[in-house]
Parts: sequence; C-alpha cells; structure tokens
Amino acid sequence: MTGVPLAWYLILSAVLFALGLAGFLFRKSIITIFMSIELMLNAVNLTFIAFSYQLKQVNGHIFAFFVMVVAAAEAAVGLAIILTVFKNRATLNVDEVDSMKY
Amino acid sequence: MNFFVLSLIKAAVVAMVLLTTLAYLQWVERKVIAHIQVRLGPSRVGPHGLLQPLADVIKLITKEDLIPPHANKFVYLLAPFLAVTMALISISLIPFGTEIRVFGHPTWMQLTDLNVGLLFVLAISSMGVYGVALAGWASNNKYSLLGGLRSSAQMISYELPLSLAIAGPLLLANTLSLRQIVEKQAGSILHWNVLPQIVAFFVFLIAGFAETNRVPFDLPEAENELVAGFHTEYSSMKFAAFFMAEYANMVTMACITTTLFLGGWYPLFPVAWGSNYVPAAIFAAAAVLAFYHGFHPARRRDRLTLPVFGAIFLAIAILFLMPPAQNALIPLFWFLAKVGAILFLFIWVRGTLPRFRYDQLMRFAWKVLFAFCLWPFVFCLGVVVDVILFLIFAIIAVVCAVNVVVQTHPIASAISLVGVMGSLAVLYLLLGAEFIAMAQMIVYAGAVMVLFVFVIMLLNAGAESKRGRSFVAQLLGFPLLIAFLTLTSYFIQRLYPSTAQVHFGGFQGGTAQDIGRALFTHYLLPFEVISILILIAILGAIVLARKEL
Repeated sequence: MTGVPLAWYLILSAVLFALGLAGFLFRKSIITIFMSIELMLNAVNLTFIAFSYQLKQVNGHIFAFFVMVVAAAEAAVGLAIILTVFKNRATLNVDEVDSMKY
Repeated sequence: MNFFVLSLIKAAVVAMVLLTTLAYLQWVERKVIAHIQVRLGPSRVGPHGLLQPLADVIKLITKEDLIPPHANKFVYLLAPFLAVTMALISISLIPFGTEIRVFGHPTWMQLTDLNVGLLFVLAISSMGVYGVALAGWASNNKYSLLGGLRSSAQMISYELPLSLAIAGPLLLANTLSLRQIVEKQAGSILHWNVLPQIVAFFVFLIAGFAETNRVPFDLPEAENELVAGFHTEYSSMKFAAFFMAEYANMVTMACITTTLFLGGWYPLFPVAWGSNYVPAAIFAAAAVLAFYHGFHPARRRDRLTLPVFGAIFLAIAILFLMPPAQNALIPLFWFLAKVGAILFLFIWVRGTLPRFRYDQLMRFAWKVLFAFCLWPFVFCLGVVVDVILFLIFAIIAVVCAVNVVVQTHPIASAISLVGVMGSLAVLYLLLGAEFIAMAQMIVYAGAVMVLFVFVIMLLNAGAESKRGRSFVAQLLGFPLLIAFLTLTSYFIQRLYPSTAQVHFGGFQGGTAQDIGRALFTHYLLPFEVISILILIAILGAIVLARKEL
C-alpha cells in the first residue's frame, strides 16, 4: 500500500503560505490582504494536522482548533475595523490609510 | 502434429475468415445504412445482394491502376500496403475462444499469446497512422495532403485517451496477455471489466471510432470538403487496400473492446442458468422467422431464398446442440456476438451522427476525453487512491489560492478562498482529523467567509485599481517567492524522506472525544484563555461597529 509522502502535505502547506504571503505583500485592497492572512493561517493549520498525523498525537489538532478560534476572533475585530476605516475614509486601499506614517 | 503446421493452419483459417468477414462487413454496412435511411441497399447481385462483395472485388481488380505523375512513387506504392498490413497484424493476438482439440492436439483458438499482447496491439495500431499519413503526402495533391495531416494529428491525439482507457482494465487484470485478461473476467456479466470501468469503456469506444477514422471522426477522408482526403489519388486495388484497412481496423477495435471490457468468449450469464442453449435458441428463432416470411413472401423471389436461409439457421442451431461441437462453438459464438454488436454500433453511429468540425474534434480529444480517461484510475486504483485524492484536492487548493491572490475583485477572492478551505477540509479528513475538518467547514467556510462576503457587499467594494503597483516589488517578489518555495521544498524533502507516509485511516485519534479530552485536561488553561479572547473580540467588534469615530 502506497500512501502520500508527508513531505507533499508540508510542501502544499508551504505553497499556500507563500501565496498568502504574496497576496499580503502585493495587494492593496484591505479585504484581500485580510483574506491572504486567512490563507496563511490555513496553510499553518495544514502543517499542524500533518505533523499530528506523523507523531500520532492529538496536540496538533488542538493547535489547529485554537488557530481557528483566533482567526474567528480576528475576523470579527478586523472586519469591524475595516467597516470603521471605510466609514471614515471612504477607501479600502491600504496605501491611502497612512496618516500615522508622517 | 508439428507446432508450425498447426500455427500455419490456424493462420490460414483466420486469414480466410477475416478477409471474407471484411468483404461481408461492407455488405452489412451498406444494408444497415440503407435500412436506416429507408432504402433497400444492394439487392441486385445474388439473393439480397449477397454476392455484391464479389462483384465489388471484380470491379476493383479490373479498374485502371493510375499513378499520378508527380507522386513519390515508392512511398505512394508503400502506403496502402503499410495500412492494410498494420490493420491485419493485430488480429493474430485476439483470443477467439477457449482451448480446443484439433485432431487430438490441444490448441487455443488464438494465433499467438504474447505476454506483452496489449502493448503489441497498441504499437501496431500506432504504426497504422503511417499508411494514411504517407499516402496523403506521396499523392502530391493538396486535398490528400490535408487529409494526411488531419489524420496524423487526429490519430496521435486519440491514441492518448485510447491508451489511458486501456490502463484501467489492465490494472484490474494485472497482466498484458490478452488471454489472461479475458480469463480474469470469467463468470457472468458482473465480472466483466465493463461495469467497474464503464467510463474507460466509453472513452475507449469513442477513441476507437477516431482511431479507425469512422464517422463522426472521418475528417481525414471527408468527402464533401477533401474529396476523399488521403485516398483521392488511389484507384483500383490500392484504393481497395485502404478500404480493407479501414474495415480490418474496425474489426480489430471491436475484438479488443470485447477482450478488454466485455469478457471475451465468456457468456452473458453462467452456464448453470442455461447460457449454453442461448445460441441454439437464437438461431432456431431466426429459422422460424425466415420460414414464416418465406411462406408469406413480400416479393416473389423470397419464396425460395428465405426458406433456404431458414434451413441454414436451423442446421446451425442443431450444430450448437451437439456436444462435440459445443465445446468450441459456444465460446466462439459469444465472442463473435459481442464483436458483432460493437460492429453494428459502428455502423449505427455512421448512419446517425454528422461529422465533427476539425476544431471540435481536437477540443473533444484534449479537453473532454483526456479528462474523462483519468477518472477510471480513481475507481480502480484502490492502492493509490490516497495519492489521487491528495493530488486532486491539493491542485484545487493551489489553484484557488492563486486565484485569491491574483483576482482584482474581492468577492472573487473570497469565493476562491472558500474553495481553498473546502479542499483543505478534505485533506484534513485524509489525515484523520475529522473534528477539525468539520470545524474548518463550520467556522471558516461557514462563518468567517460569510462575514467577509457580507462586509464586501456592505461596503460595495469594487475591483482594486491596478495603478500605483510597485514594479520593483513585482519584479523582485516573484523570483524571491519561487526561490523561497524551492528552498522550503528541498529542506522538507530532506527532513522527511519518503518513508514518512500518510495512509487514509492511519491515525484514529482525531475524533471529537479525543479532542474534548485533550481540551479539558492538558489544554484547559489555553482553552479558557481563548474563550475569553473570543468574548473580548465579540465585544470589541460591537464597540467598533457601533461607535461613531
């Protein structure tokens, strides 16, 4: 019986993380940036679960669970912030929200 | 008796029967097409036109044999013989029936059984394209050249789904010998490869139509656009050779289909249920029908011919009931019945379907058929089903993730992100993390992403403007990204050799009970902290959304 090498899961996770990173760095829409963060969190979760399988321990699942809860909390607060920013500035472009920069 | 003598006798019998079959297949085709089009078909030469093939042969032999002046003579003469030879060779590997005794010598109803039989058939059928392509080129005629070009492109394209469709039954049988492939399907229709490999069966059949240049894939010889295509310049027996090659290819394709998918010489249902009486019953019924119509004739000449046919059918029916003949004839009957059914399908399709346009033909091969013939692997490769599921969902995840990053409209990104999460949930299932997979769907795809979509709609966020993007970032970013990925992959490969593998069901500790137990023992404090965190997040979200900043 041939299975999938563990390395494939880890590489898939790295690819997804890199794509999330690319989205985070290159995109301008604050919503897409936020979604890129979610993508990175998902990639990390995949690594947790793959290692959990490899070590035959449930700990990785617990961490993935925590990550999900944090992501949910972050989404709630983050989207509220996005709403407030949009209300005040009428823009979703992160480059234009720079009043603390200078 | 000597092995060589026996083989020679068998070869002679098969060749004679095959050549007669080819001639009469053409008669059958003309009759069937005629009846589909509410015509009579050939009916002048002999009773019901039965001597028509003979008349055709005489006509073709006595016709003038022209060689166009600027043709490449050697290739021009070689092409038809190449076509017909390649078409006839494959038949030598087809197992027609079980072992029989000829003058006390046991022998198989098969010319030879190579242990790479199926590969040999594929090899020969891929050589067949030379006949057509060279004929088109050597004729020095633009229509022929176009026909030859089309034919080579088409046959190469359809060779691929054909070979891939073969892979399914091949893996089920675990052998390349055609005889053993049939023997693996012994028993009733339930044991044939056609049921587990139904997709491969249809892919094979369609690709077979294309390989034999039959309607609806007869682009290489499309009469009304290419004036018969590659054989425009061929006359007399050389034309007949191409014609014979086409029919021989049809017969071979039908035989291979029967061998691979339809259980070869094995009956439809077990002998215990009386399948040995089916051939006798069919021929007896045919005899009764012929006698009835012979005594109530529609035309005067039927008064004599139909009772004669009836008597022949009755004799065959009695032959099938005689024990010594039964042994050899009944497997042969089942094999020929299946081949005949497929040949009838070939003719039926020709009488029914219009021709493809050329771009449709190519699109169909590469986008539809090729995609379909990968599916049989999922059904038959129980051993690598993990790999296939992983690959499918990993590809979906990566494609969706790329889409998240490159789409300019946030709603398209959000939907792609749901795709990533869904495929990751399936991967979690493969890793034995049922609870997390469900949580992923409920929390992430079901709640968080719905929130995102809601916010996008609430803000009426449009597509992101492309202005002001840093060229330096793009130029540097992508090479850096690829370098990062390559390095990471390299280290992962080195750290985790291929011995560390993931099998579905290899880890059972991811159920709700296990997670609950871990959460309320070792992880109680983090669990409580995270509960407070999410409560604060809820309060914060409400405060932020309500407050007039």
